[in-house]
Amino acid sequence: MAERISLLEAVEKKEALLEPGVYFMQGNIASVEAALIAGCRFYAGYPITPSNEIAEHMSRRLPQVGGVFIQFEDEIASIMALIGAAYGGVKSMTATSGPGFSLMQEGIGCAFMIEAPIVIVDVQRGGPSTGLPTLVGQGDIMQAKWGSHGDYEIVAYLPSSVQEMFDLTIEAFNAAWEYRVPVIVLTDQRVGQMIEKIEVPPYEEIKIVVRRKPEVPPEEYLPFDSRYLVPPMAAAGEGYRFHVTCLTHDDRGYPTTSHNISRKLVSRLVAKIRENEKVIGRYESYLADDAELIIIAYGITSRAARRAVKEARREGLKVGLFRPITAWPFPYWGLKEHVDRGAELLVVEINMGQIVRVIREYYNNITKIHFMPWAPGEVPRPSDILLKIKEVYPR
Amino acid sequence: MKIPQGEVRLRLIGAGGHGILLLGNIIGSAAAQFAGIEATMVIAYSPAQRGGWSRADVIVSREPIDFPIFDNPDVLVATTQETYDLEYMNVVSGGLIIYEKDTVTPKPREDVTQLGVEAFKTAINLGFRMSANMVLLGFLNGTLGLLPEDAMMSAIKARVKRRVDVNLKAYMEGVNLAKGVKL
Amino acid sequence: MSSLRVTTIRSEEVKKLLRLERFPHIWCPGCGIGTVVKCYAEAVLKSGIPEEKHVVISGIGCAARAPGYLKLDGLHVLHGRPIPVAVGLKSVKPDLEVTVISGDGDILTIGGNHFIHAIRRNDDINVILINNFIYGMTGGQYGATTPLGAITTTSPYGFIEGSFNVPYLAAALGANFVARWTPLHTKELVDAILKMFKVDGFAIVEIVSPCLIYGEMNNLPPLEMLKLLKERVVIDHEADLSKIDIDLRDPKKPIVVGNFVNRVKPSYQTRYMEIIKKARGGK
Repeated sequence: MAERISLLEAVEKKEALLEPGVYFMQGNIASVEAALIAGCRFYAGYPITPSNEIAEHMSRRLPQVGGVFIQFEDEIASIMALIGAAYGGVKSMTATSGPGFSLMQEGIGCAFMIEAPIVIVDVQRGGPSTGLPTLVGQGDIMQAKWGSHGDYEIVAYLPSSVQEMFDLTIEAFNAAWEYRVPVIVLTDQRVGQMIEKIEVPPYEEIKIVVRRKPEVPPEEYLPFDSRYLVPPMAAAGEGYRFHVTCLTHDDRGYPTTSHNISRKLVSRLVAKIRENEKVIGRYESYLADDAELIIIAYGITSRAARRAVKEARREGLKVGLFRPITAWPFPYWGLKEHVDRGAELLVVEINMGQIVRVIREYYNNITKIHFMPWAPGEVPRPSDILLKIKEVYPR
Repeated sequence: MKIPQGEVRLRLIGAGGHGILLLGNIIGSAAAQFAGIEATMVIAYSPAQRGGWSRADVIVSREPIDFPIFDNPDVLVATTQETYDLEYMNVVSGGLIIYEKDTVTPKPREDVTQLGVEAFKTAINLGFRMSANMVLLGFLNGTLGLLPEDAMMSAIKARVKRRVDVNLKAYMEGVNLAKGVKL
Repeated sequence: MSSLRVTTIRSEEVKKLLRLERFPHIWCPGCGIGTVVKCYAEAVLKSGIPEEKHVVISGIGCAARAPGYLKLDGLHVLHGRPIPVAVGLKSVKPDLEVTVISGDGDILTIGGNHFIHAIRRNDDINVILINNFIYGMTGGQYGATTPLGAITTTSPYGFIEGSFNVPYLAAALGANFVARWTPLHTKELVDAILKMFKVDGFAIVEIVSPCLIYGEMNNLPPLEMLKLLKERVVIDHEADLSKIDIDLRDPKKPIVVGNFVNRVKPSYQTRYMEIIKKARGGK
């Protein structure tokens, strides 16, 4: 027992972590290495294509840094085990794809309610249902936001490169532990399984958020202290003797049916994200400043779109790219100036219409919103997007 | 062929066990880690779990690479007739095909340069049949001058798990075979 | 009630482990859960393990409210999922003594898959499974331990499925420690829980417990149930587990209790230490 604790401490010394430098590495693997650098020491998961490299690499790497890997009987157990580990004060992660992500939804709601910081990497494949296990899809955007019942907010990142699989996994851990929420790295089969150049920066340049511990004596500690937007978190075994529950609860963590407490609790829980949407939400623009048509694309699709934008520019069309880096909160404000000056929008995504609904929520009747749906299984080629650009380009 | 100025798109394809993925990883590593330029790789497999083909689509570029997926390679390396047949028509006009001479009978394509290499035979002569992919790599780089020799050698040392010396020798044999080849 | 009172002595010490501000509790008069909670608290006090190292985890249901009344670190999570939460916590904090207290519906019915796999993996957790044969909290629906023929709100004509024989199931799956007791056996139950704390691996005790909801529908009010338990209980630590299924309706069928299995086999968490050593090159 004592031995294990000392092994966990080895982590502090950055022992056996991926060294800073340049690598040619797969997206899924980069996510694992980033998680370990972020301090992840527990992984629970169930095999599912195309996320398996994450579990496989974790099973090899975690014990090297004194962490624990468990392959569970299903995704339901996996997500719940993360909650257990989080309440042990340990950073934990799982990876899955669409069908497994569906099974995790109840647990994601539990993590949100009980304010357990956990990270889920969803390597999206083609759906619906079993769909296309080995091929790309971007159909989990809405599932990530609305998959669990009740009112909640979620943070979901949209990496578009192996570098971002690394950077945004670290950011996901930071957001999870900053706000005590479940956070999703919403990647896709293409980005997860592609191999690319990445650079691991010196450790001192990597910001890592750690658990904010209670500063009060145990008898004064409230696990859901509503004087804070994000209450400090005690870990099991530290003497705080907390009680936490997925039932609607008061500051002490005791179940209640009081409407007043329900209102206060749910308001605070969603406010954690809503009040910080501009801190968490991120996007990138490319050649957007003078664009008359702005393509909105994310993940692997944004890379085809970027090429299409270049080709359109070459043909004299003023086209730009807006790439949301977070799906949730959606960085709607980044489009405002372009829309205000009259730019039209073209959404391209590998689904039948998900992010486009969010764009419509903010900009319907303000500008023209074009849409290019794309069935799962393939990424639209730059030439496909260019064709659509020419079809809808404002004249 | 002319070496494209921007991105060079390579499609490496062969039977499972021919070391195709390692080949792609070495080119990518050599570019990204040792030559300081950009590289991407996208992998595909035939539907069969065992005994099928594997394919590595590698892009090497001095500029950031927008889109890692392509349909038409500038360069095709194929080690079996089946995979050659699958891909030889996809190569861009003016492109290059390198094939294993022992196993592939090339088909006519007037607009493409086709070069056969006895990679397997060369590797067997070196006493390590598994190094045939390194012969192909040497031949490929010798012909195209894609990346500096030392970057390739460093990548081989970093990526090859056993018999590094024979693999390096196989690579050099490939480079030598390319001497005198004119594109 | 009188026979239960005997088992609910409130020592000052046990009181210290209770969240008294939450009393009165939600359990019906005559319910066996309170007694089990008291036995668990007594065991915690006697365990020699610091109180703050004990963690109690539950799912949803009447029994699952137990952590809410215990002044220990406690997690009350989703229906059916306390076992994976316990496994996650124990895996990262091996110095904690992690115990699941929950009911038959939670652990065996909706959570059955986690139950069988946690035993197979031999996760180092304790499970106190309070079996009252029914879903009490949701109003009396049948579950995986409901006896054949029983009337429930979803089997108004009688229950026709089979029911789990819990000790037999757990032993067959390979649990290191398997016991069954009733709320009448407080001394034995405390003793069994203390034994479970010492086990490296999966330990389970099933408590055959009276339930008002079950009793109302099946002519077996808690007092009658306690009487039945008193008359029909047989202590047999060496019992043939295949024959100890419970049939409340057959007056000749004994309800066999005891500490049936206590074997030594390293837990997943202990074995994982070897994995860590191996992965770190023996360092």
